[in-house]
Amino acid sequence: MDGTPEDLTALLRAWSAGDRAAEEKLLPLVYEELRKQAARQLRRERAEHTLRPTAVVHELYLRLAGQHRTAWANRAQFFAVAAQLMRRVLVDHARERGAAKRAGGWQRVVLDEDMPGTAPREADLLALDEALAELGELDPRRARMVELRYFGGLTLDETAEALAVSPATVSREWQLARAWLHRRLARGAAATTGG
Amino acid sequence: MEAAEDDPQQRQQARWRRLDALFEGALALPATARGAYLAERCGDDPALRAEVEELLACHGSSGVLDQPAPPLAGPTHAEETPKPGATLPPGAPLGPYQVVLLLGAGGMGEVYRARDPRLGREVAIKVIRGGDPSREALRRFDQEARAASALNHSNLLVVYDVGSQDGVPYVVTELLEGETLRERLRRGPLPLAEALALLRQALAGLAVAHQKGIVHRDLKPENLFLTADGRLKILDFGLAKRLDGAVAGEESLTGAGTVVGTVGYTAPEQLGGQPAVPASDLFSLGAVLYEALSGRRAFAGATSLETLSAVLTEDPPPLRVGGEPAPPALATLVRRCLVRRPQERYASVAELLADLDAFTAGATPVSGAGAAAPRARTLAVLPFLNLSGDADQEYFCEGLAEELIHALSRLEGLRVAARSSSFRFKGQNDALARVARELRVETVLEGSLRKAGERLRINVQLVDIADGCHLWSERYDRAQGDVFAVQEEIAARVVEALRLRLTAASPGPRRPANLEAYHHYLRGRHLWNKRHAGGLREGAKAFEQAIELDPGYAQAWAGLADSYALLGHSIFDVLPTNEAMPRAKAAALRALELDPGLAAPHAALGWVRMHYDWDWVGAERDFQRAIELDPRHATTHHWYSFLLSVLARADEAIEQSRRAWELDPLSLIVNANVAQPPYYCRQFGTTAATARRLVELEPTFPVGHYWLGLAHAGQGDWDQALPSLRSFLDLFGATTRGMAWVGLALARTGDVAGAAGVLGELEALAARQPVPGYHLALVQLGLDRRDAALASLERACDERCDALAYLAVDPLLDPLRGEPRFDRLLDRVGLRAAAARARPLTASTALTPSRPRSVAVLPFRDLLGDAGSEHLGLGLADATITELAHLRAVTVRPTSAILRFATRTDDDAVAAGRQLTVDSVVDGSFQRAGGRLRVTVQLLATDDGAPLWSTKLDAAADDLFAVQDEVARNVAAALAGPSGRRALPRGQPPAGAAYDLYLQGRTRLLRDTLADNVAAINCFERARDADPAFALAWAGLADAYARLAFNFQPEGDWYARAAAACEEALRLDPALPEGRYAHGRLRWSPQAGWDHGGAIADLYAALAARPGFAEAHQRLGTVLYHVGLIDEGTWHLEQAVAISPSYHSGIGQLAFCRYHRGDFAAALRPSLDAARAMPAPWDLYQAALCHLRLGGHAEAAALAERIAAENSRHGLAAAIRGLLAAARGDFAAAREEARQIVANREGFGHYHHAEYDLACIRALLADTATAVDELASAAHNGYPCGRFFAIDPLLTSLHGDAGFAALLAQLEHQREGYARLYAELQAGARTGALANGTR
Repeated sequence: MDGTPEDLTALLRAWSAGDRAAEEKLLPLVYEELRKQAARQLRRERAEHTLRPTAVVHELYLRLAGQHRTAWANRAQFFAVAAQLMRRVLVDHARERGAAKRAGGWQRVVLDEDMPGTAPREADLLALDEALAELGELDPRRARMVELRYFGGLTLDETAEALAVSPATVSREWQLARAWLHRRLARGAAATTGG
Repeated sequence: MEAAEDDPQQRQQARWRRLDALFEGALALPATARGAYLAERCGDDPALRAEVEELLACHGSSGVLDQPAPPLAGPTHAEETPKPGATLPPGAPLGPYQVVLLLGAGGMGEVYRARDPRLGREVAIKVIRGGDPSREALRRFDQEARAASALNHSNLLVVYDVGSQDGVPYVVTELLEGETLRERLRRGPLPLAEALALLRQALAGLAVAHQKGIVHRDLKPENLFLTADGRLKILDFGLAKRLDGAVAGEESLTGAGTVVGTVGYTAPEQLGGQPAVPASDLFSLGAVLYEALSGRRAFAGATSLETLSAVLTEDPPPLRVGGEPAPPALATLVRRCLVRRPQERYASVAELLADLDAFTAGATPVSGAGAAAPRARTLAVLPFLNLSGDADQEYFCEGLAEELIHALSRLEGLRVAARSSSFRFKGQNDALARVARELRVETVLEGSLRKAGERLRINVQLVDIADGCHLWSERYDRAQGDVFAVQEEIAARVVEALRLRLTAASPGPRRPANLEAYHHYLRGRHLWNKRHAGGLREGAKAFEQAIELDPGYAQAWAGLADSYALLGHSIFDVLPTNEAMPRAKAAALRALELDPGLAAPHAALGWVRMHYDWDWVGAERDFQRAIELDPRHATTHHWYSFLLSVLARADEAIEQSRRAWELDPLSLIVNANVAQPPYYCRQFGTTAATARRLVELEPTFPVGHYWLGLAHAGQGDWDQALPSLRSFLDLFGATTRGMAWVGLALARTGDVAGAAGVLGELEALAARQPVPGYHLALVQLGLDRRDAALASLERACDERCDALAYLAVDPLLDPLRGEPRFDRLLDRVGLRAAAARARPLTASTALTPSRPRSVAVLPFRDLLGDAGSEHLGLGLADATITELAHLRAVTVRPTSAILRFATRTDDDAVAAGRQLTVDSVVDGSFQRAGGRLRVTVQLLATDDGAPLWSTKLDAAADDLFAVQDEVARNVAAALAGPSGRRALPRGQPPAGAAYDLYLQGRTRLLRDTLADNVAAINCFERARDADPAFALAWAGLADAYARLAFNFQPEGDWYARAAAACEEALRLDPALPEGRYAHGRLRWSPQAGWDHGGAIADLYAALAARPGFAEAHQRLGTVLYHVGLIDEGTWHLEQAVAISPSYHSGIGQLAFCRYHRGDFAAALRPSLDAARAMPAPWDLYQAALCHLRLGGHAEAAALAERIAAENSRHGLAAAIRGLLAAARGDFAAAREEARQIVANREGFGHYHHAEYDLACIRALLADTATAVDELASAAHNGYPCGRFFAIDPLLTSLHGDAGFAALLAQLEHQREGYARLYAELQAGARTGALANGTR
């Protein structure tokens, strides 16, 4: 183990106790942890496991929880942080891959049938990230909601807990968030076609 | 207000709030009312209105958020990627079409089943997403789709239409039923003939496309579709490119450097950026053919770049077919497809086709070549249509076809479907494709017969099923007397049409000189095939008439032998055995005198020697001689399987019944016989399942009913047995066997008076006619008159009753086993040894007194389709299942078995029940509205779909436990009668929220992935936090942590946590079955030092509290066979599989248990099945071990290669290779592999298996001392079953070694200790049950 989880746990505890300064230090650490976790799993090459971002988040949670059970009075808060960071990991990952593709100079290369649809979905992801930022300006809670459910893999009930609202509220507010984002993404694409 | 409106940010916020309100308001209204609503609310702001309308449209369609977040990369497989949720819901419009169902989704979009309302037909629609939907791309797509729709050929997917909706293009094609070649190949390589037939179809389709200047460019197994009726279709000409880009001003869209295609199949020139040519498609097709034949990819690398490099620089390894090097001509053909330079490749389809023809024409089976021999061409002869208007000609038509079958069967290289199979299609000749599919043939011969005066006109047609073409047809006008000449002529012409070589077949049977005799013979066969008493009697008469007219007619004598052989069987109750059997024997001997080459009389002799002479050795010799003479005679295999059952050689019996079935897959009697061997080796569940299918298929066929009845009886469920046996009696006529069965069933169900009445009837009958003593014995046994029963059996023995042949294995006679008088009978019949071999039912009495009724609780359906409520539906079902599992009178399928029915539609419930082989299903649904939950539950009978009971419950949504409790109690009451209500334990209801969380956790846990496991832990932890005294939550936690420790994350302290949670669960509720189960599971692990005894006690306790706990049965059975208690282990594993027939790990452990019994052949099949279903290294390894012990070294090597293909350093592959090397004496290689094994310990889940393999390698290397050390270590570390050491053929060199003997003695000593423990537990359970007064 790399020693960081200890600091991480302490920071998380401070942060969940309301220490804003801890947050500054915390985010890069959790981010780094998530990235490592992802890399570790990729290296492990276990064909039976697809590396779903939600699984990465959950693994990290387990590892940290393993260090310090009692630090986790508010599990939902951890997932809230992790979801936000997972979004960044994914977006960065997509950017890196996109750059690598372009550097290769070939277009529409289906090199590996074992990785269906990674190419088109990278674009989706970057666009979603952008749109989500816009939504965050209009309606921060709905943006968080999307982050939690989409990137954190939280269920409706877990999302409600993390946002401290009722599941019914999440269910209701989700509809506009979803429709708005889908419309925003569709329109963004339409703009490039000139139609 | 004014100021706020001026601030742009505030203004934006205000607009957003308005938008929110309008959107929500409109959404609450029906779609039709929304327009007016919006018009009224935002009349002053058309932009706002437009935006809300767009949002509403988006609400109805799907997008990126409806799918899981993208994976980070990693070795995911296209087909393993979980399906994203349906992006277009059923009913959604798509252009002019209506979506019916999402069929599949991948990176490029989704495929839907849809309806075209204009033409009223169903179509498939592929929606193409994810590409950049630029105008350029759309135009390109449109252009390509148009190119594809210009193609019209039966081997190409028909494109109906293209279009786009919201800028997303889609293509409409014909809807296919079947699977892709990729899916087919997952079950293993194709037989040669099948692969070549498919290749021909692919070539036919490609030829058309190439002719029009279109190259596919992306042929691969995913793009070749096999329809249910055996046709190959090339999919996805969407990537096809016009060769002549100049046509009609179309520009070339393929810029330099653009690769389209799939690495591994795409031709090298395409990869190099050259334009694709027809030869490029042939390269791809060659790669596909290579893979289809060998099961390996032609070009494979760990990464796509490696694969790419293989295509560009390497030749594929030499082609192997069925484990043997491919025939040189075929290898050359494939190689010429795969040459890198397109100029050196086949240039056209025609060139390839020419070589293919040459190969097929020259391909003759080399005798003894086994698997490498190309598969024969296949043909079915259908009964000729009788158009003569004379019903008497019916049998003549059948006879003509039968003669043709006979003549054609003698041709080498031609497989002809047996008579009783083909004849089931009498009068259904129109559905040729279906006929061919069911009979598994490529060609069909059909014909008709007309009659005018004494003239016959016969039309014959030979049809190739692949393209529906007539290969040949002919008309014959003949006088009636010429019929044999006509037959020979037809056969010769057919042979010519099929271009087959005639071989030196054994001389055909002598034709009767007398035409009338022949007519009688044909009529006799026709009647005999009906298999009922009247038919048999009439048939015998017909054969006798034939013989009277032509006493030298061998086949008629054989027919007569067959008739008496069955007439003397006590089940038909026509003639006493001692009267009929000697006649059968005499007729058979006469037939052989006349024609020693006939197989059928030998089979009849075998039947007689078995049922009448009790000459087991002689009978076997007869059957084997019959097989030698004609291995395709289904009746031989069918009857031989009876002999093997009687001798308690169950696996061979199963093999023979299977062989008969392969030869004659649609014969009812042969199908019924598939149920027979499992019955006599007491796999009653298997018999019941087979018989139930048969009864469904053919409700009027009596034999299916009696096997079903006997299977229920074997399971102790006489309530179910009785109606089936009654049906048999009704359908078969009032035979004394049927009466005896019903009498026994009446007695067993408590109707003693009824049983006594039957006995009286039988005794009265006996005064007038011979009644087999066995029949009297059955009823007497039911009435518990043991002495009378034994006396009746003794009388039956004196009369040489055929039923005595079954003495060693007949489950109905089990109550008499152990009686000295019964043993004396066994001696008289010569079956004492067989009886010892037959497995006594030791363990069965301990836990299940009788087989309960079975029920499956399907996941409750959410009528509102509310997101996030899936767990509620599964949870309701799971909770009901858990409660029902406490009922002794009911067998309930475990939750894992019903998961896959979560997304069924309304009318699937009964079908699901049938699949789960249960008598009834619980089909529930719920709606959540506000804080209320409404649950509707129906109990449906599986046999006829009739509702048995239904109810509706309304409850507060948070009072889930009360709802579930109510549902379970009501279902139980409906199933078990009022006593069921009392039987349900009433635990203290935990807090509603905790229970809800617990259910969520259970649901997640069952999905068995890491993320779900973690989520389950989360749920259980929260449930525990909500109610710390909730024992189930602790047990769930223990289970989840244990899974994490054993299956997913060996590192970490999960084991300790599991142990702590388990302890807490048992502290709260010491009898909690889930808790005891988890405890047992944790004790039986390396962490706990393999505490076998403790695990056995725990698991037994869990089962005592919850007899239907499949997982506990599975685990207990596994532990028991590991300590050498193989019979007991087998029994528990069988219980697990019987409770949950699709329980994968139960089936796998059962196979391994058989393996350790030394029964390698029996273990091989399930291991192979498991490996086929999910080729995990462990299953492949297990199959390889079986092969090794059976001497199949080549097969074992092939399996090792498959393991290594996944991971070249896999320890399991090294183990197999090492064993093989040692077995062939290559000691250096064996040592190297042994070193590899040690170096790769981590490749093994349980290293003790490697230690055992190492010991075997050392033993084969004659390194005795080390071998014994390794064995001791393996045993110490938990390797199963010391008893196996003594019988393992690989360890024979250790026999005589003192250290080995000492080890065996020590293990045996331990085994005895466990045997005592298990016996004590059983005794305890019995006294406990007696004390409770439930038994």
